[in-house]
Amino acid sequence: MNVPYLTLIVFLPVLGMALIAAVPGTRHDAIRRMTLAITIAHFALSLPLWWLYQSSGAPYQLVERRPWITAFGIDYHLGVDGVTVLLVLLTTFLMPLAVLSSWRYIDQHVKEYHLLMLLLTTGMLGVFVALDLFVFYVFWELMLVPMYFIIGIWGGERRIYAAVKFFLYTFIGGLLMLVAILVLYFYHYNITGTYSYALADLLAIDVPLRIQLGLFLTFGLAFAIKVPMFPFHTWLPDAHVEAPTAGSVILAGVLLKMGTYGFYRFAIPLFPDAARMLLPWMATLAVIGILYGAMVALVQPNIKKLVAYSSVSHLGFVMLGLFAFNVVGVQGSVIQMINHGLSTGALFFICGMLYERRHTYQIESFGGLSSVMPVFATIFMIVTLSSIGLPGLNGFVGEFLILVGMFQAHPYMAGLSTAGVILAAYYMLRMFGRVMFGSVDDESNRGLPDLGRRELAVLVPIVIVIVWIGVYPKPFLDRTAPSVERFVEHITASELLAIEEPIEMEAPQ
Amino acid sequence: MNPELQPLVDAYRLIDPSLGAIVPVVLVSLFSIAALVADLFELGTTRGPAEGEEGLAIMAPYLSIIGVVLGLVAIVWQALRLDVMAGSYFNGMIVIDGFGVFLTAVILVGTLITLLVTIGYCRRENIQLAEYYYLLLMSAAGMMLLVQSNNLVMIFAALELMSVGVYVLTGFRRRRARAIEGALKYFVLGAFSTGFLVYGMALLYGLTGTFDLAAMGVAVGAGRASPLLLAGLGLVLVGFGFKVALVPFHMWSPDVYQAAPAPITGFMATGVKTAAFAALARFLMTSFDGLASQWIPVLWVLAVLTMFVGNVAAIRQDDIKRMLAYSSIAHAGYLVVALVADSALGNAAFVYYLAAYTFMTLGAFAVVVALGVSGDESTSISRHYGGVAYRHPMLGAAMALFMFSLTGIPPTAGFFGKFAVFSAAVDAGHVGLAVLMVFASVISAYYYLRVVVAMYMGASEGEPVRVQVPAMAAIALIATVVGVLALGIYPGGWVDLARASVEGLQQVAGLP
Repeated sequence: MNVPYLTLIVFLPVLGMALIAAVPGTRHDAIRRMTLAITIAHFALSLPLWWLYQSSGAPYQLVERRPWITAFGIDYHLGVDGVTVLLVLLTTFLMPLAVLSSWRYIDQHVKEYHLLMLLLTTGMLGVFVALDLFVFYVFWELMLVPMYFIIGIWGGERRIYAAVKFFLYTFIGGLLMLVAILVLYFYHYNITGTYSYALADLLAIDVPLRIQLGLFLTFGLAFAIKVPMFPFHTWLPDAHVEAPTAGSVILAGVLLKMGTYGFYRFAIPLFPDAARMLLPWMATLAVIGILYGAMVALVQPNIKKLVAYSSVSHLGFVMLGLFAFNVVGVQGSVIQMINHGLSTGALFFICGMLYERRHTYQIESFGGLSSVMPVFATIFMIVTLSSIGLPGLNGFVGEFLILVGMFQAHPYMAGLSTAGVILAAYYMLRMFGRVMFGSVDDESNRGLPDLGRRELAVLVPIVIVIVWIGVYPKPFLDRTAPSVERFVEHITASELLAIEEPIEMEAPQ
Repeated sequence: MNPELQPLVDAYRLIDPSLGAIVPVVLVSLFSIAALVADLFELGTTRGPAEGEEGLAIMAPYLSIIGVVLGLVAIVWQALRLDVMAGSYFNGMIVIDGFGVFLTAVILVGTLITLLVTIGYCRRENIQLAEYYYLLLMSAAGMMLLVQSNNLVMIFAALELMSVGVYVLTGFRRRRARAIEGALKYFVLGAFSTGFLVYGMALLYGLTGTFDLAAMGVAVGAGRASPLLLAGLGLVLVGFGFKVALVPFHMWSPDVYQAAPAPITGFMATGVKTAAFAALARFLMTSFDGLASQWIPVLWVLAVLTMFVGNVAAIRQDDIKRMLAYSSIAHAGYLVVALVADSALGNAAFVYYLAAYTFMTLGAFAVVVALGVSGDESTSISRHYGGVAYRHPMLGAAMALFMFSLTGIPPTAGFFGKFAVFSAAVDAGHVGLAVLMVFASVISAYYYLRVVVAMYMGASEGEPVRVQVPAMAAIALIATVVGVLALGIYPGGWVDLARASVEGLQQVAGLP
């Protein structure tokens, strides 16, 4: 098949931007409808990935490779593996919902907003499908700009602070990663005599442990900021709280996954010895993140901030699963990436809906909403339960697999992190109870309308997928299994190698 | 033939092959004189200058543009015939090579953009003097010669030709105290720095017995150098350091940049810097390549100082021209990083960066000019740039693009320039320097974002002023936007050009 399918998926939003740009800026509804149509079409376009990707086939599929900057050996090189497929679909699935959720919330600079949302989509998808480190970096930075604008223009009161902080944190991590990419690139040249940024080429060489450590830490910093891992998480609560609803959803749903995905696709496979060596540190940071995030979430009076900190905690689980370095744990981690995107995305949508009704995120302003908004209460309940990992819903599948995997590898770490699950149940349910149950104390809560059709259209699809993964995760697990197995094999293979021959400690020359 | 004419014919034979080498410079100079002369005829007409106007330059701007365009055509002609034309001319005074041709083209494009921006500006500010265009073009001619100089005397002459024009242009709005102050400061410090340069050149001449760069390279040789030779090198470095505003020789630049008319500031930040940097690079690579181990540590320190002082100082600036002045200091630091790499890749990164830098900086200044209001250039970021992006979506978007490019965000020219410099530094083993450059870039992101924040996230203060962008300036803006994007999205072709252009500048093999 000669259709550049991945290119189409990545750049369809840019085509959409050209369409939107032609609409006069005053016709807000037309712009909204067109963007919605474009994002739905985009989802439809990307859906065949689910079937096109053959889990028994080659490691990277639908590969496209064309020379881009020949002088530096840079290729425009895209491809997907099982994990990528899920993340791409998650992105295209969330985008129409995000557009739909901004229908009323965004009433200023509507055109600019939708243009940026589309650009953001391209940036995110590019990050996921890039197989060339240069291309990956380009998309990684490209995604930064629209998100910066979305937080900075349509955000809350301290939006500028949050936007600049978000930008600078990610930018410094990214640039350092660029230097690390270059070091690896020239190292590869010194060994093989060819210039290449292709992931497969760079995976093939054997890097001495000393260099691996430096490079892993640098790549790791960029990704750890994005995940965010403790102690690089401080930009996240600011960005989440200030961002408009759709911004928070995309941030939690997709952007944070770019960090964990970066570990999965680049940092760990490229530097397996360093990753194994630093495993105790990384796992410890992940556990600290789980517990710290949970405990901070516990005391938040602000729903959005609570959800933001719960993200820190959940992403800690994802990291923990990755560093279990066995198939079960990594599988769980991958599923948990999707789960977190769905359930936290939904929670942010819900925060946004509460905010649109009451213009506050304070938990104490609510109470007894379940009697006023029964449909809302039901959906909120399902999402909350999914977030805390109730069996039968998606969160359980991910967390269970991660804990099983971690128990096999490092029982103590797993034991500690279970406390995070318990805490999560506590703070989520307590928040839910204080918002939804009890008596309606505040008069202004009495007449709140229940979910409208548009809001249902945002939440119901997510709930369906939440239940689907919870009840029948097999299709998801099947699709990712071969890729995850290869990931684990790659690390174990390097371990065997490392035992057989002494590690070379010389500097490259 | 009349035997009395024989000497003339001989002289012509001597010059003839050389003439082709300086066609672009000659064209630009001729048209600059033509602009001046045309003004004389205009002043003689009955339509003397109107009330409050200075002069009546009608032809001058267009003659200048024609001159620069013809110069560009001539450069392209030279580039296409490079394999035939490459070599030295006028007894080794001038050299035609890829490096010179590439950077001359960059300078001419920069001059053209400056001219396009200037025309509307001068109309607004009532500067209708042909001398303005004459000085601008003469200065450009000096830059072109500087880029091609292969001899210290020639470098000195070209540097002065370039500088004198810019000194005067800085103080062109002579009714303003700040303009006079800036011009004087520039002139005095410039003269002072020239002293260093000349002294250094004299020492080098005394020690090597030649002004010719290549011959000097042979005389200098490799290995150990005498202290006096290093002193000469050091003094020349100081002289160039002033011209390209390396820390700690940068003190003049913020004041001068703020004082000068905005288009001239852009011209100084790009043209002067490009030309002086080119001469410095040629000097180091040709004459002192053997002593690279001596000057690399010095440049390393200068690069770090320049990057950090420039970027940190820029954070505090509210005046956008001052901010861009400090930003241009920082970019000079990045350029020095490319020189520190001292490799073919480094040189390629160097010329690529100069091209990228020219587009993005001139673009930023073009927006500053477009947003200016007569009598008051309204250059305060906090007071005048609030909400600009909603009053002028196109100008706002363009400015945001330039700011992101200066920050180094893909897919812009600035990003790929930085990437090339990083590559060169890492390749040469200066990973630490690359990491320091990363930190400097992150600092720079903060103040470039401030402009974007003001334009997109700030509210406009007072009565918002709407401006009309003159057609010529709009062309300049489109050209710079296209340049920034073209160099960023499809850098391949440009990189190949840059790489080809630095071949032979330095006898180092092994490019990626």
